Amino acid sequence: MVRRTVLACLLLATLSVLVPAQAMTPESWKLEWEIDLADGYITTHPVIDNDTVYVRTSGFWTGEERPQVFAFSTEGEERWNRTSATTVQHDMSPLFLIPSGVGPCGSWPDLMAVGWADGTVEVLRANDGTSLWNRTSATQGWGITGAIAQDGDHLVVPTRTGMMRVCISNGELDFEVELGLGWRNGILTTDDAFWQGDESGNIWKVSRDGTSTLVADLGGSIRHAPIQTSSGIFVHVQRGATSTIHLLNATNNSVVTIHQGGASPAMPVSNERYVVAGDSSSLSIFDCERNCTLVSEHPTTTNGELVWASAQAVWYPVNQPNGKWAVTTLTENGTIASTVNFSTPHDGYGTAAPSFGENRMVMGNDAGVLMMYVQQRSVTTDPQPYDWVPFGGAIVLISLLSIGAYASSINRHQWGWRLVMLVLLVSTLAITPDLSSRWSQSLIENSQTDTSEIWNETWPESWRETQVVIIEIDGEQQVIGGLDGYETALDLTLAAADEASWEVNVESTELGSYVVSINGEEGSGWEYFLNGERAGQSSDRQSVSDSIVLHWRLVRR
Amino acid sequence: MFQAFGVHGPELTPFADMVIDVLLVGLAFALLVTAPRTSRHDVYLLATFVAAVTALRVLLQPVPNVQPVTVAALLVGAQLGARRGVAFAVLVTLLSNLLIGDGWWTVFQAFGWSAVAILGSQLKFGTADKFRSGQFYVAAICSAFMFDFIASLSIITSTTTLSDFAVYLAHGIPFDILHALGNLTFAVWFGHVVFRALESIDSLEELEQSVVEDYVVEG
Repeated sequence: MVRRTVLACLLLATLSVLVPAQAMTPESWKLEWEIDLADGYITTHPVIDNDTVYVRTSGFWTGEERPQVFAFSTEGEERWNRTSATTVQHDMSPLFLIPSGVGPCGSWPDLMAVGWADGTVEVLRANDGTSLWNRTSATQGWGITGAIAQDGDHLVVPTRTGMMRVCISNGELDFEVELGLGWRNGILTTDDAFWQGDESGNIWKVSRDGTSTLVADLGGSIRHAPIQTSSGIFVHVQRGATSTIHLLNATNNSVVTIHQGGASPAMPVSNERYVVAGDSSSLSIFDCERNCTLVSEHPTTTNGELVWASAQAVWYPVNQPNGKWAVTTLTENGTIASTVNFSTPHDGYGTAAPSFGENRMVMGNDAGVLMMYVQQRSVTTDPQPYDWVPFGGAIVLISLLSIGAYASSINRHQWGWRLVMLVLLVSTLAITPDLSSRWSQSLIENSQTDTSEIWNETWPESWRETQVVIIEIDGEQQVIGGLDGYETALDLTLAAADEASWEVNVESTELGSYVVSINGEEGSGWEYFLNGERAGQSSDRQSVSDSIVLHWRLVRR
Repeated sequence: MFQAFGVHGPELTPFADMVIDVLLVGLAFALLVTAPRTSRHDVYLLATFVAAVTALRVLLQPVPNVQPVTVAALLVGAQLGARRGVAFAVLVTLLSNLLIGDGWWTVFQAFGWSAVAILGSQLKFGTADKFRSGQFYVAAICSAFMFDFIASLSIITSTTTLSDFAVYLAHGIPFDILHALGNLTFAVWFGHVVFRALESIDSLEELEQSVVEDYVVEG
């Protein structure tokens, strides 16, 4: 009997080793759909956010066609598009998705910031593409072409003639400074300042009060956001038929030249330790834990964006007549393990990096065709590190159960029970967060009444079948309706707050985000109801349907 | 001071907080002082147990709704009687909440664990040699739901309807089950050992009985 028990336990433990908790095989990509965006190039990377893909077009606009920003579902259905009638050309500023949030200068829903070549920075609601605000900046031939950055509740925008910092929620200008002329020059945000290069090879440091300092004059042109590394600020400077790479010491402003490269540099990217730079001659890997020394090179032509798809793999467009995309995988010490070409039905010139979402990759090039790929489990492209924690936990629990079974078999029933209870408790603790969330969601779904039951006849008819938010303070209600597309109660609340100019203060805890105050009112707390039913979890975890009445009520004692 | 994230009862002023704490401490000491004969050894042992369970609760605070105090209150109530059980429950609640967060809910938690201690005092669970573990395990499971229900009463406000409260309780069921499982685990691992350790302290009822018997003998 004892022998059989032990054998059974050993069998269980062996099986658990043979059936790992997650697949270890990497995946390849299969084209799911493509959309021709007609006139215009895709010169900057698309953006994937959950179930939406955003992309913009650019080009030399001569006829009626104009640059556009599109939003598609991940199935390829167009959700909205935005055309700029006044922009000039070269709309190459990367789209910048801003997740919903709050800050001292206000709250905002999910937004998409767009820098236009006519000098306008425009912030669109990500769900429907409507404009929340816009602000103009100076143009000289063109306007904004560089990458916008976020600094807390502000956006920092590289304008044609300098830099400006604006509040995300309302576009209010914090400061605008004149620096050198810019082209595709992004901004590095550090703890104490913003760093930006210009077309004259100058590196500027701008403090948060808007004071600018010329830190270094490197000559040439700087056409990317400087990169902060542990060895200094990394800058790739374009110089006619060549380029040079420099490290700037931010403490004493000294500059060291570390490499001479080919023409037309790409926009370098960093994964903390390694910086990858590209140009018309090669892709170069620098180890910035060792003064950004050159580790390895691969001959290619890449002049636009690069992107880390994982900790060790970089994707980039090969900018040649029949150029494909390429994937360079690094070893642990930064040397190149392999470079594999990735061909699409629309290979050719390109400067836009692909973007990655869950099991999805979206890409486009000068052909102006947006292509969506999905992962398939077959060919090895990029080894992911295996997460041993669930596996180790399962082994420990199974071992404890085995010991418990053995203890019971030799009549030590008390120890058997103890170990079984411990395993049961630990297992339940592990699944409780998920279980609790699903349980609460099912309760809400089962108990939610129709909005018609709590419909107020004084509300506009256009609000029917939309998302409506009520804020009730001491019996007085303020109502915002006609909202659409918000997925969580918190997102919906922030969107309504934005419409009504309410200040919403949210605090994050391990159990979720909690609304602490609305318009400065804290009371004993805020409780919320969905279609009249009390909600059972934090508002950021509570999903909401497209037709819902969300009612916040201040509680006082 | 309590900062409201959601609704957890009234926002107490520091003064109101102090008054509630003083009243609860007063109640605990009143129950202990009513003991006719309590040896210094017993007081030390009970105080040590209060400190240990308080420390354990604080230590386990990051683990959702695993509450060592519930099983401890059950055992103290069973072995030392209702009055010392309630005093134990109140003191542990106050001391641990001073470290992990004091407020309106302290009152309800103290009542909840007091109720558990009273339940223990009614059930007894036999003696150390004839420990009725099955009955003890069932009580440990039931006391989790009893405590959680009483503690949940703290969310009731003037606007809370019965239906609201029912929804609130329903949302908490996974955590009630976790509490019950935690209780059962504590009970299986430590129940008998602690029960035996507490047997060395005479309960108030036993002390009162011995006093009565002394008078009878002397009379």
